[in-house]
Amino acid sequence: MGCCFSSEEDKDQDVPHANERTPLLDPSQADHIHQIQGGRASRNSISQNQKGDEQSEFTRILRQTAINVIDVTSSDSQNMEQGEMQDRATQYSNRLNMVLSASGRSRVFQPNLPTGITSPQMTLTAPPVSLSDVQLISSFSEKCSNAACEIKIQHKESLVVTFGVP
Amino acid sequence: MTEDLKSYLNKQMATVDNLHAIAITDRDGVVIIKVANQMAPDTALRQAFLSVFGIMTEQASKMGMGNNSKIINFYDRFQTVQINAHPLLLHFIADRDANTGLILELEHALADVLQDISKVVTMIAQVRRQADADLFPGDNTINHCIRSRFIY
Amino acid sequence: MLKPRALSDVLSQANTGGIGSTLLLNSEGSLLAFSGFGDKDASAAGAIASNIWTSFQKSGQLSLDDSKLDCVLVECKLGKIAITKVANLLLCLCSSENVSFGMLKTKITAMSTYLEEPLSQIASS
Repeated sequence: MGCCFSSEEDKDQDVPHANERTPLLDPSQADHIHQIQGGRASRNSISQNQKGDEQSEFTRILRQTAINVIDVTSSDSQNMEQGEMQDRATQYSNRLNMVLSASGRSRVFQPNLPTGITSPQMTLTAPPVSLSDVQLISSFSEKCSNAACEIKIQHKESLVVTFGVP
Repeated sequence: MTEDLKSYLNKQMATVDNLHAIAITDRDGVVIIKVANQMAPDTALRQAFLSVFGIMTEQASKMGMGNNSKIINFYDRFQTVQINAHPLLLHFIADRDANTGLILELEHALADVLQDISKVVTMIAQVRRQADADLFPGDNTINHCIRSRFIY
Repeated sequence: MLKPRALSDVLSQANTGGIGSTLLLNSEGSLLAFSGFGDKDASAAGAIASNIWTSFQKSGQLSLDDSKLDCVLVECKLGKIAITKVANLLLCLCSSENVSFGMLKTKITAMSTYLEEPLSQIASS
């Protein structure tokens, strides 16, 4: 299974399943095409491209590995140095002022209208929701909340067996 | 300018009962802007606490369910709603019994704000990457990979 | 001693309406019991879930006035996860992305209430 040529007896061969091998090959396809085209142009560019390929492949593998690593010990050691943090916070507040004044949003930020309301004047002039609708909604929400309280595990048998200790 | 933004955030915060703080940080939990009332514990708005979500959202993205977008924690007195709005992190700290759905809706009300602030973060990340490249010119690959988790 | 079949029967009761699997983990994140459809790598997800729980529990204790963590809800692009503590174990519900947070939380609360007593009995024996 580990060998590329063992696929003859591999019944999964038609299924394009994603395993650990697939991502290694896919992204480099573009590079291969590039390499072939380079080979037609001149011999020098082959070796150059190969070098470039190796380098980019190396970068890609390294980055992918860094992404795939699940570092469960890091949560304590990740705290930044106080100085660096202060630096960055100051940088942010300076830039924030710059960006805010440059973005032309000198107007006060406005909350968006609720979705589904295209013309506020129509919504505002519409007759108010009838009392029966309000009652309908409140009775339904009450029923929903009651139903949620009723969600519980059906007891069938006791989970714990106690041994016959005297 | 920042004052306008803060008053807007305060207004949004007031729309949800028992919501005590809103903070927008970068991926390492460094605060870019925050608003809070006196009910919010002071320590909850520091980098040490806010950075935990940055690390956990990264880990949660590796559970085989695609990228992580939100983590909501219920403590015995508080709840925290934390949203991954790449390249920013959005943190809400509220009472345990505050309406979580309303807090989640605030993300939409803050869309404009987030857009503006993400420009700041991208700019500074670029500056820092440039500085790194100048510092270690020959060693880009490894340097980049090692530092990438701090930059992005 | 726990009856394994009865336990997995109880765990499977949550697996309706979009919830795919229910896991029981020990404090180190190893899988103790599992019930669900499909055999996606539950052990890796379990280990990460337990790490998420531990980290937020610690940081809550330090930074949120010594608060105790009750429940964690995680939303990813392709699914949602709820985590809570039962006795000395962690209970974890994995669902598809279209299950709402409210249903997930209600179910995990119901499950943990039911399991609390038998599991603490086991833990203390």
